[in-house]
Amino acid sequence: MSETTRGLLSPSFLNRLEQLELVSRKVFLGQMRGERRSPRQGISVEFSDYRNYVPGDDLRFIDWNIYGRLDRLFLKLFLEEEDLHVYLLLDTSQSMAFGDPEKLHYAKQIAAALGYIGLTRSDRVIIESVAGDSSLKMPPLRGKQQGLQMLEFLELLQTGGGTSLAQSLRDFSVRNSGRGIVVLISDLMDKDGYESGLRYLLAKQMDIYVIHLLSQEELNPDYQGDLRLVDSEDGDIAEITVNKPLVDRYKNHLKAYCDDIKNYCIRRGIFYLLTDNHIPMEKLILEYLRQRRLVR
Amino acid sequence: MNTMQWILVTVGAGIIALYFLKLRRTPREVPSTYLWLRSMEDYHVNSLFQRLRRNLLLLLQLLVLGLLFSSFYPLTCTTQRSSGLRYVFLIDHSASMRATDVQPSRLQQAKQLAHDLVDQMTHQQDAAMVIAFSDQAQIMTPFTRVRSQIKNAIHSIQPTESSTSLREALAVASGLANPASSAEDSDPSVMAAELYIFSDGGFEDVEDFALGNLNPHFITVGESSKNLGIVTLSSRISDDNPDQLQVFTRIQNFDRHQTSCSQHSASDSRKNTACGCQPVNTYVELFAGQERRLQDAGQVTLLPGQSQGLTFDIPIQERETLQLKLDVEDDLSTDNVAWLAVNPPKTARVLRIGPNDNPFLDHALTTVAATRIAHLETQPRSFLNLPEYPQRIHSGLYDLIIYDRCAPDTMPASNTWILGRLPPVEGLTLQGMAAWPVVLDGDSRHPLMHYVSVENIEIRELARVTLPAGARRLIQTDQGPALFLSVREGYHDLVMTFDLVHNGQVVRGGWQAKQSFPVFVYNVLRELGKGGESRIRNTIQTGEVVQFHADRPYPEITILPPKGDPLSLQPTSQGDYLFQETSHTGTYEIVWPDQTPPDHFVVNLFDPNESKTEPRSEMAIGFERVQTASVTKPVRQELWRLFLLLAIVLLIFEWFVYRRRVAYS
Repeated sequence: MSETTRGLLSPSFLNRLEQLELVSRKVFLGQMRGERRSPRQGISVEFSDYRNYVPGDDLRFIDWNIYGRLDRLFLKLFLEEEDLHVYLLLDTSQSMAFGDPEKLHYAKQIAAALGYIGLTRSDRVIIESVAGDSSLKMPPLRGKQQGLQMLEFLELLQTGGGTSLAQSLRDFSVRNSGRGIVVLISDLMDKDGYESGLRYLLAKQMDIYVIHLLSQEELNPDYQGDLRLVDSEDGDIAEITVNKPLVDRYKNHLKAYCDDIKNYCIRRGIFYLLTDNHIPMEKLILEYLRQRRLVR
Repeated sequence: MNTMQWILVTVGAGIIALYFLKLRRTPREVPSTYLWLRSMEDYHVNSLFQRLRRNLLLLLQLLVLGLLFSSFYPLTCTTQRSSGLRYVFLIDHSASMRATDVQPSRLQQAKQLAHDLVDQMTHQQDAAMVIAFSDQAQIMTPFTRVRSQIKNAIHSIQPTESSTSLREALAVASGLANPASSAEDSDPSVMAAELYIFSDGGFEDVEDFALGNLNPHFITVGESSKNLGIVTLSSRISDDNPDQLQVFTRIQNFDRHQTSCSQHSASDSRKNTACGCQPVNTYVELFAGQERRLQDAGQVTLLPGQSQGLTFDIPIQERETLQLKLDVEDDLSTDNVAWLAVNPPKTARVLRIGPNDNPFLDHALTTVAATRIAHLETQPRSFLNLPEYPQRIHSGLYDLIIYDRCAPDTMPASNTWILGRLPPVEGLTLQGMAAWPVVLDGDSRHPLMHYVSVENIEIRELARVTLPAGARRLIQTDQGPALFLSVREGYHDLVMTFDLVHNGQVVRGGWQAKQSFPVFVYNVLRELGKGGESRIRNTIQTGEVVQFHADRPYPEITILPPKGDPLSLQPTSQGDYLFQETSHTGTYEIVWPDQTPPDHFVVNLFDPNESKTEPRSEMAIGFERVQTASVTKPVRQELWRLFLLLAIVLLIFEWFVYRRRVAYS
């Protein structure tokens, strides 16, 4: 595992990740008994409530102290601790192949880190690629011992094709019925817009996290001269003569675009984080995501 | 628009066209053009205009072109007056400007100073005129704003060996700067001008001159005054030995001197050292002929300000050219050489018409002295009736025609001496005859009457006349003039109003029997026949006009100057020759068309103003004293040429970088 993770995460960083856990702002029903609270009451050490005994209940949960004092049978109810669904959606469109390091590589690191935290906490971790028509899906993994399998899957992901967030997220929503945390890692450079895609996730009442990943080339383009810009995904052409007013105009549009996404997300309870591929991974996970309480 | 303007406009259009052709955009793959397209949406509006507006390089290229255009065709507009100044550059190119006390010469330094001044003419409307002056002024270029034309005019000024006359140059400059006082409408082209005089000051002050609108600046050229010069050179046949020619010369040290230097001799070295006078010692050499045969040599030692004469006795030659040379190195070499020409004296061509019954006149015309200076031809009175007579007297063959007791019907083209008759001269009328008049006086001041005594002259019969206007009485009697000289269109007519022979008999006690008569005849041959004198003046200065006669009336002769090509010369209507091209010092050879040996005349500088090379610090023009000024003045230099150069270099660099980027992309 160490050899595989060397490309994405360092062992020391993995050790630090083992101290963390993913935090969901919502409590979801799990499928298996896990390490986090569940709305479902069951066997655990955390008391939830009392109810009257009815025939057929397990006699082990009768509170005998109350029976001795009140002479009535009450049954102690405990909160069930269940596992959490953690969906990690990686944009693998061609636009993610830019930057140094590549945006996709950086996205894989984020996914690996979050996935490892989830696996460590016995959450159900599901990783999928979001890229046009063809998307790769990792079977649900659970438990720290399956971290290797997760990383191998991440290694398989390659950039290619265009971005169609709406279609990809609709497919994802239809396919996964279980609610949980959805972390979308993408540059959101979809000419059809990002809103419809996120709307599908909202409809599933998932706890949505959007990590908006851009490269330095996009944030601060250093182009010069007369250029014919070719879109890496659809081959669209934009002829520009680079000068300061144009670059300023581009930056203004980029800022407005990011602000639009942020406002859209805030209004709908979606966690939004803008990052770039030059921010160290440790800083992103241990500071930024901690501050925004995705991990703790 | 002319061709040049069309070319510049075409180049401008070409730059813009090349700019768009040059826009072969470099393809570049980007993650997404999404935001770029949104950024370009409003940018595409008026994209051509915005592209032009925002592209600094294109603007720079057009700016460079504009600068180039404005350098060829300055942008102007018509206003009521021009703000440019006018300059008049008077550049002295006389002999003294050949002095080498400043390297390479004073003239070259003056030209360089004028050149610098042209560079300081910053205003586009500034115009200048260049006048070179020595003994005469020459306009090298009229007023022009074209700097290159002004500089070429300055560059084309060549040194001369002439004296200096500032007046003529000032007159030329003044004519362009001062409107004529009688002009009713002022000439709009006449305006004030800055007058720059580049000279060493080797000229007299121009006292009676009004500068008017000219604002003078005197730029002195030269530093030192170290110069020795020959100031005179002449010759004459020795009184003691007719076979010897005496050559006289005078050498002067023109160096700046102190009063104390003139109080002791050059050989008193102690006093010289005490007062700081430095004597100059030089050899003076006299050469003869073109092959420069050394004839004699002398030595002079001169303190500053001193002059010394030298005399050389050399064997006389009929024709000879002599050269005197100072063996000294000083600032001005032009006056270290002088020339002298020795030509045979002129022989008067005399025609005598009349009866041969006057032996006294015949004897007087054929004395040894007279035959030396005159060639006599005698014709009888019937010669007047021959058909060839008019042609011969009007062809200029004779210098003097003597009419003895006869008179011409029309006056000949020569001087005349008429005895006992009255010529057909306007204003001369006969009043009657008078017997035995008493001779009162003779005009001994006139050259014809030199050494002539008129005492005891007996006159038997005198014609009483009224004299024509301008006639001069040479012998006066109580009955009127007995001898007078009248002037006729450049000729002189000498008229005797009495006969020496009466009825075939010589008058007893008449003038012909007196000793003064052959002297008088000799004077007539000398003065009216021009016999015995040199054809050409001995000393001619540069720039002077030379006048000389020929023994025969040649239709054309050739002059070989010391420098340059031979020059042809035609006679004047009086049969003289006038030669004006005497700008070079040296020996000029007169080549006659026939086999007559060539004669020579010489031109020398002999101008103390030129030889005195000490530069002046001030000069006077009219009532104004002009101090020495400096050429350099604080002016704003035009730097746009530097910026234009930098811009062109920047464009070339930009094009180079662009080509590399296109090549690598």
